[in-house]
Amino acid sequence: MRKLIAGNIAVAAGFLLAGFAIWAQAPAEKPAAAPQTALEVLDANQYLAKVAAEHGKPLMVTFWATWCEPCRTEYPMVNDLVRQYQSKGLAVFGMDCDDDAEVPLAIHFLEKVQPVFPNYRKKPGKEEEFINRVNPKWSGALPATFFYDPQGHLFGQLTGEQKREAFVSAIEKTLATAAPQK
Amino acid sequence: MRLRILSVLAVLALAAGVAAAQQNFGSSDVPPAPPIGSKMPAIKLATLTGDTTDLSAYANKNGLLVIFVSVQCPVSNAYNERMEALAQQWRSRGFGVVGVNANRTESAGAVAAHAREHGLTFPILKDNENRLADALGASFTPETYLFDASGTLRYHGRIDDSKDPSGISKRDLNDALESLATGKPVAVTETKAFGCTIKRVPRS
Repeated sequence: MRKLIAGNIAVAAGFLLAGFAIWAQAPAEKPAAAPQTALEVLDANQYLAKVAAEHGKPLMVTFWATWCEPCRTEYPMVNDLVRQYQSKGLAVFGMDCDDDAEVPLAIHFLEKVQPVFPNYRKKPGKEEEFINRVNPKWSGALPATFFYDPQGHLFGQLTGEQKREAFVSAIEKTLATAAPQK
Repeated sequence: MRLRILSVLAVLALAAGVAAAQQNFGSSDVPPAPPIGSKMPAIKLATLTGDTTDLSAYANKNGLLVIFVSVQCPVSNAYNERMEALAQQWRSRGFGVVGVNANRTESAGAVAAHAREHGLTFPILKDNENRLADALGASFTPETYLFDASGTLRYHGRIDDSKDPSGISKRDLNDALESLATGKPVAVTETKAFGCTIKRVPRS
């Protein structure tokens, strides 16, 4: 009888230890990001300040709008790539180019796609100045994604519909501009 | 003096280096727009009934306005009424007005139906191989090109500065048309605005 009880206790202890080991191994789950209910508005100077704030890291900035169908199509793919590449040191933020009346649509879109990177909104008005301050070679066509090296220099861009492979190639080229880890 | 010249040359060389270093991943299918002062390209386009036509056939005594348009782009559609109003106003003042649809995803039938639905009375042509879009470096809709009576490009860019008509503060295209009509120089010759990229035919 004593042997039976001791055996059961040993088995129970074994399960407890195994359970503890599994719990200890499991990666801590990140708390779900709070849904974005508003978009910080940036003028051209504030946009460039956001870019400057990421100095030291390769950076990708994706411009989109709810009225831009290819933007809405590619955004989940971009989001998925960001999940993969953020751990490799890629900094990312999004720029919504919707007007004030379209903000509810933009918020609804972000709620649906659950981005893993922050999104801001271009301050309405002065479009041409903003386009030229981002990149004088940019026509203003959307979608457009810009890539900066760790020194903050505009390194490359993708405009129009692009396949996943084009983004992967651009991201990896951008990551390659980062200084090698010592 | 020599030092000043060398300094200027150094700055120019640095700027050129920075510009050259910028890469365009994946967007090399949009050629650069020709500069103001360039001649209208002689490129065949298709009417919506499938006939072949020439852009110059639509010019009038004071010039030709070309607008790249879209059936589905919300920005282009936000300008439907304004484009029609511009067409009616400036046709009566001696300008030809023609729309060009260069989106591979929008058929001639769809373009014609869209024009009927929205009351667009100016002719719209199909640029099926994107030859005109490439020759003019057109990249989004709506994007406009204004040629004078000699077929010289005098204005390129947006219609005005606001998708929402209530927010307009600059009517750049109208100002350019007025300048040409009255024999004055165009003050603002190139402008930019957000728009939908033209859905080009993939290049092999």
